[in-house]
Amino acid sequence: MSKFFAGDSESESESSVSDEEEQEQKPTIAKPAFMVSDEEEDEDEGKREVKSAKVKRHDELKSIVKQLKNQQKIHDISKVLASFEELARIYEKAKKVIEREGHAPMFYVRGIAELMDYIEGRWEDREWRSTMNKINSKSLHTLRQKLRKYTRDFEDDIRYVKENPTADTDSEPEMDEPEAPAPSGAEIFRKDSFPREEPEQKSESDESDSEKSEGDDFWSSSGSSESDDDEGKDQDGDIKQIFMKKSTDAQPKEPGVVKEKISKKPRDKQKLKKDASAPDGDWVVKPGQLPEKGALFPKDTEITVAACVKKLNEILAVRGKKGTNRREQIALIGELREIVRKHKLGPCLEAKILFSLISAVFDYNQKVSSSMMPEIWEKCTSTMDEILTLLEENPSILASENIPEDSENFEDSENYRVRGCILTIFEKMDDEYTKILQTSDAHATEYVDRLKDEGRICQILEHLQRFLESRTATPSQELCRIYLKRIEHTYYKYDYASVRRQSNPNLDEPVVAGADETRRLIDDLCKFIYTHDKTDRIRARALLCHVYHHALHDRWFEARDLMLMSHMQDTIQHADIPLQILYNRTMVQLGFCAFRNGYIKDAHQALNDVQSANKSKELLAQGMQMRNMEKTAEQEKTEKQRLMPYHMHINLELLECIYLVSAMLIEIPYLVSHEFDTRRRMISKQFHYQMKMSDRQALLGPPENMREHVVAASKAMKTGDWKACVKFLINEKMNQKVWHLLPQADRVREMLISKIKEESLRTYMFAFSPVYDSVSLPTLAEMFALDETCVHSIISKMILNEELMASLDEPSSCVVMHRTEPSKLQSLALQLSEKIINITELNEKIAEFKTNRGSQNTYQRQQGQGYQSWVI
Amino acid sequence: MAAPLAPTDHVVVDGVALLKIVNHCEQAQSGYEQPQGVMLGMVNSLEKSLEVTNCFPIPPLQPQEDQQKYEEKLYKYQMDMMRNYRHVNIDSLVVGFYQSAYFGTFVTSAFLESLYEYQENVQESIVLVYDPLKTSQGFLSLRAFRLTTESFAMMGTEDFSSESLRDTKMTFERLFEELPICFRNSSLVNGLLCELEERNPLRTDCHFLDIGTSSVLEKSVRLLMNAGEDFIKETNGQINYLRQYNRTIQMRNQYVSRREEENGKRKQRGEPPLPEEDLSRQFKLPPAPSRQTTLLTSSQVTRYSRQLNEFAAQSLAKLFAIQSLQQK
Repeated sequence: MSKFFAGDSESESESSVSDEEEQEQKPTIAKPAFMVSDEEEDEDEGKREVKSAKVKRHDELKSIVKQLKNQQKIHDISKVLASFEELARIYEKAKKVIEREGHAPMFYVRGIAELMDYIEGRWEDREWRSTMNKINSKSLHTLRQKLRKYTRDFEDDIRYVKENPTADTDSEPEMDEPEAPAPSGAEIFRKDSFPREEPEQKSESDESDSEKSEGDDFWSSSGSSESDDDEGKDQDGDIKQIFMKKSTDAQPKEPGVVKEKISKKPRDKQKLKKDASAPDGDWVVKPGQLPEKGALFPKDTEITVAACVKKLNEILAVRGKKGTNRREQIALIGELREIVRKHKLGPCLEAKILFSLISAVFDYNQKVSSSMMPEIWEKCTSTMDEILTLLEENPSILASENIPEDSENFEDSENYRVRGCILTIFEKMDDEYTKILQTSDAHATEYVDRLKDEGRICQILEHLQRFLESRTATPSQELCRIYLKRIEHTYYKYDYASVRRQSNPNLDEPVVAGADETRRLIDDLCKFIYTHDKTDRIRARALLCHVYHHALHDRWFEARDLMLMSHMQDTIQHADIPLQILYNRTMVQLGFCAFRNGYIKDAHQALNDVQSANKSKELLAQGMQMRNMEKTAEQEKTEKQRLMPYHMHINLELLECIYLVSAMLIEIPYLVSHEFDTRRRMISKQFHYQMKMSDRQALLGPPENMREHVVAASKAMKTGDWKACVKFLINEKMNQKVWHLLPQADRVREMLISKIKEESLRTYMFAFSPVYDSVSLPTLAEMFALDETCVHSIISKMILNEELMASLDEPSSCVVMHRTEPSKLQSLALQLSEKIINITELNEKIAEFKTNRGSQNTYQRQQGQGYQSWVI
Repeated sequence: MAAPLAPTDHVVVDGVALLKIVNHCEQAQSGYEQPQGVMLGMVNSLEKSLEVTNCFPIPPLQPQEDQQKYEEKLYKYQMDMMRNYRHVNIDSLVVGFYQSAYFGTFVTSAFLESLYEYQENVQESIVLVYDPLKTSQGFLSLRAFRLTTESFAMMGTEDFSSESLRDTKMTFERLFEELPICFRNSSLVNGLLCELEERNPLRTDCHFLDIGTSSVLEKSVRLLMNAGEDFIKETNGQINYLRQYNRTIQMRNQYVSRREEENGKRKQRGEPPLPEEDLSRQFKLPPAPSRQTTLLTSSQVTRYSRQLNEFAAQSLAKLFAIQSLQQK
């Protein structure tokens, strides 16, 4: 017990009350001292009712028992039933308290017993029963049944009550005149709820009194009740005194108020605290609760480093314990810091305190899932800033996680040592920030407000980076960590400035200082990590971010080569999930990059894995699948924690559109060329699914959403109608939905149109070459608005790949077809023959079964006749 | 029914009935539902023929309509129609139904069932199948079918297991029997026709000389392929059944032999043998799959192939004719 523990009231109550009661009483006394924050309320403390759980329950029960009795008198059975149900309900609630006592309170048992007698009496009285109305008779019936069931649990108690005539006789007269609720007899079980002496002071004294007498066995004799009562009166006086004293003491320096003021004005607080630390402050402090701030240091204590450290440890000792007021703890540490500063105890100690402060701030939220409140977050960032500045200003401070607590050094100004790692704290802060973004609604302005802090984080980040770089002692691993953080805050941001500068170098924009190209920044940081990192994880993350950044800025070859060199594809399924998410994001971005640069196949390949299972949302950690029910709540929670903040999301519709368009450009020519091939494989399942869905529709309207547009375009392409295809893909709707999302959309659209032309030409040749004997190249070029050389090259390629059975006739610039393709009927016949072969095979299988069965039968028969000997 | 079946060996269709059937089938060409109707007529046991003298269409089931309500309405409608016909002195005996079908695609279990129902009432009932496509090509295609005695009996027992098929020697070819049809008009109508023919002589239509074969062939082959697929599915089911059956039998045999061994040992030791157990409950044999679908599919395939055969023969003849024409 600390010295701040005021012993006075404690001893007083101890003297008058037994041990058992003390436990009950303490909260009733201690609570008001801490909870009250309003001065006014404090003044008329007497009026407030603070009850222990037990007293409260008992009061409730008592009032209902009384109600029950009154209702019995007027024979209102339906009301009696309602009251009885209420009683049972409250009793159920009070069970905990009652269990502690060991048996049901007597007044309760008695009430039940009386009710039973009453109901049985009514039940016997047939004449009366016939006269009452329907509701009441029904109620009587149900009540009787319920009561029978209910009283089974109390049989012993009820018997006991009935066997104790003394109590009965006493209470009998009271029953007759309920208007006078508290005559002498009633006090046996109810005296506490009706105090006679001080009705105006129906305060704690009564309550504590009642609970005390409850503990006693007051059924021993009726005479004892009298003395009991007297004793109670005495105690009333005692306890009242305690309270009077306490309230008068507490008034001038109400702790709640003090606290409020302190947190606002540190100067005032200082003074107040000095006052408050007067030795005669006699409030009671619960164990586990913090020492009051008023009592941080006794007035005359010499404030030294050692004392402060001790104090700090004291404050921190309650950390994580139940009932710790975390807000208060933060305030206390802040206050301690003020003292340290005032007494000039050295920056190192301050750093130490700041470290504690920030960890207290992190502790503020108990739940992992919930995020910090804005003001706490504000506190967090500002403290972070302060630590950083402090450490920077005092290069002699050595802060590290590796310094054990006992070797900390706060006094030797040349060789300050303190435990704590600013980098870890920053990482934790960054995580907190992500959490804040995750929990706030991405479509509200609140999110934008939160997002504004990103700039601040980056500022701190750069600051920290400079700080760590300036320290020669920083291990390279720590540098890697801070660099990774820097990269992670940079890689997904599109560098508009440098792209604009690149696209027209003549434009002399004023180059903003500090806003240098992110490309170089990321390159440098990543290279450092590649060479110095010793854990694979940081390297892998940095690499993926690097690729992402390249891909985002259309540096396709760099991105692709880096990706391929990493061999990440082979090992990624064994990596941890956040890394896998980053990998998925990177692949998607790589696919986008490939598409923008016209590498359709690569784009399709890169996007296929993410898009194929229709789980892109989950794979990119941009949301949860609703229908997935087999997940446990735990899994769901962890998954929620992994979600990307909204501003880092990749547009899923864009993803799907690019994937489908890529699939279309690959799949349609293939589809047309292999129309009758039974062993045709599917290149893109998703694309086929979309096509099938649209085929199934009875009535096909004009396309509405992105998918329908792509499907319509695919259908146009199937017949080689490139103009319609382009029209379906590139129009106002699609621009709005998809293409405007891409940087340099015009270039992409041009690329897309030329790709569509080429693939349409190929499709056309596949579909309609059987119709032609020969086609002239210029006609084809005209049809598809392509260069003749381009057409020439495409046709030549098709001939070379044996996709087209034809030859080029140079002088007339014609494609001459060689008819070797089977006609439709022929290919159908081939398919049919394959089917029939299949049927034959199956038939043979059946026949085999039959013969097998036959042979088995013979086998069994032979076995019966000594088949084994024959085998030997 | 024990009465000897099929005392009739041909069908006589009245001109009125024929025209009505054609008219209905051509008009009611809507998507999925095949137009159907009820035929009225009489059994002429003297000439061993079934005479179809009139008919009326059955309104198709509306998509939103309740099945049960529809059936009630239909029954009332049929009764009303028959009563009305009787009032004007038309035969009111239901002798079967007609339906249209492309390429002879009509052999389904529903078809089988309704035919069975009609035949349950009037044994001589038949079904007339009309092919609008062929008719439009210039060949009137109307064919009369009836369940054979065996298939009728089998429908009665609803037993389509392999065993019963084997015992009754039922094959897909004996599922239906086809009856020859002849058309008949009253003398008055014949006279009118003669007059009409004189007034506006028939256009010499050359539809039947069409030598474009590929579309018909393609369609036939596709239908054959579909039927083949159905067949494969059925066969797979059968194989699964056999496999399961064999496994169960094997397990049972093992169990029995183990039991016998055990009993033998017990006998030696002088203990009472183990009580008999219900083996069939312990080793439940899998339910035998119905062979009805296989039967129907086979029958359908046969029909397709026969059609294809006919068509190919005709086309070949035409092609030869044209070849010889060109050589001249």
